[in-house]
Amino acid sequence: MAKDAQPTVDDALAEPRGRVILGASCTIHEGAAIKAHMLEQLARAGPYEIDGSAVERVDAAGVQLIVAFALDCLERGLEYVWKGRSETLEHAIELLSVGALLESPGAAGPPGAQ
Amino acid sequence: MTLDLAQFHETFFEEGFEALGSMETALLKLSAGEPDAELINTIFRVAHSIKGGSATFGFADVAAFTHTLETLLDQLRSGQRHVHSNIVDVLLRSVDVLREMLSSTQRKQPVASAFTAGLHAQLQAIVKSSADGGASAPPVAAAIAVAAGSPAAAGEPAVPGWHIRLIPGPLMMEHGNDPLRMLRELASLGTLVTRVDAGKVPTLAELDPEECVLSWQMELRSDAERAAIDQIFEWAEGECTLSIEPMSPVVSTQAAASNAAPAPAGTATAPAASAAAVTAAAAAAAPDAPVTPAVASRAAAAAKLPSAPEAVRSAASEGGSIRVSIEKIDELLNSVGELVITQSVCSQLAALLEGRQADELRNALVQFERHMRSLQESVMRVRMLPIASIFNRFPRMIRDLGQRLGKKVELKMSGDQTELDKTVLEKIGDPLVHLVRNAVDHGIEMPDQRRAAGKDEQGKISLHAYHKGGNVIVEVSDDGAGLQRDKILAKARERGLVGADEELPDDKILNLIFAPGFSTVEVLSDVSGRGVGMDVVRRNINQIGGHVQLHSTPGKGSTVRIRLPLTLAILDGQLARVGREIYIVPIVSIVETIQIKRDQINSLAGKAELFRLRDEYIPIIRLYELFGIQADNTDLLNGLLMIVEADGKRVGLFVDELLSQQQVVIKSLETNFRQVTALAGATMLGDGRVALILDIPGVIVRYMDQPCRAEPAKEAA
Amino acid sequence: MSRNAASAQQVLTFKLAGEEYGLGILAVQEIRGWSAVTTIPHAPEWVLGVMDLRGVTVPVIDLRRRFELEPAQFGPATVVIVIRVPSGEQERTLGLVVDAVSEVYDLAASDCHSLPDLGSAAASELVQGLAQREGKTLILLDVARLAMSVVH
Repeated sequence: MAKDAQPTVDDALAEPRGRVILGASCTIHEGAAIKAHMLEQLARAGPYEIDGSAVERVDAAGVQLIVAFALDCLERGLEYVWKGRSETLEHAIELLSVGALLESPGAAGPPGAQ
Repeated sequence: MTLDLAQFHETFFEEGFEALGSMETALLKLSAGEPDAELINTIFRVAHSIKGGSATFGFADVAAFTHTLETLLDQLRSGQRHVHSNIVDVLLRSVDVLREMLSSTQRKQPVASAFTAGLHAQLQAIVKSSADGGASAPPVAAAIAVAAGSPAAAGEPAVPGWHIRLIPGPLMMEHGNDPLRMLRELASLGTLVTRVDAGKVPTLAELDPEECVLSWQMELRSDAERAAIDQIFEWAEGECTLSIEPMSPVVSTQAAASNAAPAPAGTATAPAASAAAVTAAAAAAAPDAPVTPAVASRAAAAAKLPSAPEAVRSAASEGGSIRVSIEKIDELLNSVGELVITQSVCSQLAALLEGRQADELRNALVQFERHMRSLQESVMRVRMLPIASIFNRFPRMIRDLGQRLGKKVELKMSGDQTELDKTVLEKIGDPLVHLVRNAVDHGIEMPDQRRAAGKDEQGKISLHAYHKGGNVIVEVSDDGAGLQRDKILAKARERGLVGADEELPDDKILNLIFAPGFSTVEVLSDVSGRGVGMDVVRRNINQIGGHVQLHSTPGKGSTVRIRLPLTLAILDGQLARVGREIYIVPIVSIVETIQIKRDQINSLAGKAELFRLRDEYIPIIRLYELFGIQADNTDLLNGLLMIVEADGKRVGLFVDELLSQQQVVIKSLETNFRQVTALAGATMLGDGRVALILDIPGVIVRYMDQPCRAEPAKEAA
Repeated sequence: MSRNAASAQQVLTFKLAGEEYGLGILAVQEIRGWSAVTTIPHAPEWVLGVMDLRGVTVPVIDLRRRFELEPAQFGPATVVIVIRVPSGEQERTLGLVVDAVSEVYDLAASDCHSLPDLGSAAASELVQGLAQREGKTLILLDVARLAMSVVH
């Protein structure tokens, strides 16, 4: 929630360094590649940015990876911000009921999340 | 019965919230202390319609509350009780409570709260008190007792549904069984409320991307059968732990409250307790959860789940429905109309060009025209909805009412695909509900009475919608006892609506039931209430330019016929040319079109011409004469005769030529001009001209009324 | 309705059989050239028919015939003034065929005079009053009454 954000967030968010960019397909078939990409980005310094605006196909495996990424950040106190979520992704998140897990602690919720 | 009532819940809530708004406004005006009868009536009607809707959908708490509220309002309306400012306060708080109740019900959360119960008790106390020295409080109080008991006693099951728990096994996803697809399919069966357990998600580095470690617990509100759910998980059998349990029906408020955190009953593998613990932890931890490593464990992180699960609405209803004001759609429709004209101007200009490029331009314009037409149709259809959306609520309603009243009723419906303008549709919902309730409650007799009268024990109610003469007719008929004229008259005398010695003709007597506050039923029931009914029905229908007619035969039943205007409706029309004018004949009215042969023409007393169609003689109406215009053909043998039918009468319309058939938008002539007999309206043709739409019954009436019919055709003499 | 109510207002004036008429400019929606209309059977003869105005069906009135003047031939110069008039709870849109549009005047209340009682002669029920302007006499139309006569 925005009101919980720390005062330094705005500055910190100014230049995200790690960037997770999800492709059009975000399914079990790309799972290994997405995981590798995420780990690679997590190896960089935070804060992170995750962009799901291009996602056209998604399954539970894809969403689960995102959840794991988000929980990693949460657990390690790392900030990340959603750059966008496609409608498809948004719908999958809603159906799987993981929206609350993907609320970035450091930023105002992504569009569509409460 | 496999009707999904849930799809109508949204409408009920939307209408309910709107109605509460107007109730509030009316209450605020009432504060001044001047008891305005019309205002009290407005408030009463709101309470009544919310009560009716909630009873239909099985929202027992809301129904019980509004019943008490309505009783109090009835006391105010009848003058038994005066409008004190403290009563207005209580009523205003009732609006708040109702709003709360509706939104809780909408979110499928328990309705009862201390506040609700407190206010309900207070209302009941006021109703029972005779502080105003009201003359006859007892019958009202008795009514409460009945009503308060009945919804729960009826033991209606709440919307049935299923508790489902899905714990995917390690290989499930790898084998192509995507939980997302399963949940999507479940959501399409009804309203799905899902909770995820992310407690087993390891760190990203440790996560096997092909293994599903999330698990879900779901509540599916749906009347779907077990088999439909099993089918969704068919392929995942053996690859996941799955439990599917029916929800226990919610009988009363108390039960609903204790059901608020439903635990999956008797699942072997599901750790129900831990799931509940997660949720409970969430409630405590969520608001202030510091964003620090303090949230260390996965389980705790997962506990950030909201305490109220996100409701995932069914895919069907979510399929993208937004509310758009009718004005915006009309603007759109008008712009499209302009585009059509511009496009036809372009086509005409292109026709004058020469050369190869001109051909290409023309081809492109043909495409353009096709696209324009489909755009226009789509926009027009936005406003039109089949009446099925209203009809569909009746089967359940009639079944429930029948059960409650101990009557056997069969419902027949036809024409539910008849399309009506959305605004018209919205306005006829309540009136139709009233009429159908009336038919069950007052029309259909008890089975033994029917048997005694030599009728089938099972009564019949029929709902019938059809196009007629540029209108949509909706009929509600029953084969019940019919209206008893002597009772109506007696009641009207008692109410002072008719003088003691005054005698009235039959039709006037029937009309009395449209008088405000009139009711012939002595016993108050929560079915059709206290005479909110026919007056409101008629007022609502009149407001949208419609007309209500009542026919009743003692012992045989009653029919209420509602004629609705097509303020903006689409009509399938046959374009027919008479001289320079083009008229549109509704295709539904056309029987056939015939080239006339000489030996088929007969003249009658030199005044009328008749056409012999097989064994039938049909009057010939020369449209050009009727309308006083010039035609190409005055010789019947050269033109065409369109045989049309209305009100069981057939006539032949003599026209020059038939053109295309097309769907046209009916524009009212009354908006800026006036109603014209024989015309149902006007429409705009592709070339920007206005064409008039014939109203066949009107054409016949005008033909019959002609003081001096035209000379008989010479060739027929 | 008061007959000498025409107070300070702007009027659009138009010619009709050599006389100059005026109507409140606020009622004017647009001015169009004449184009063919669709005849309405059994309508009064001064109702020429209906035209389509951006999806709305609008009756077109021949003001010459409405005032029982000599009908004129319609040509390229013939003009239709489209007016919008409140009528009951809604607004009515009407097209008025006139010979030509002339000018817009500001009229002060002192410019306006009520009409002498003419009985039912000369369709005077459609006239709100008279106005003097630059030596000319303007006949001020009562558009509300005109609209009423179209609707009923």
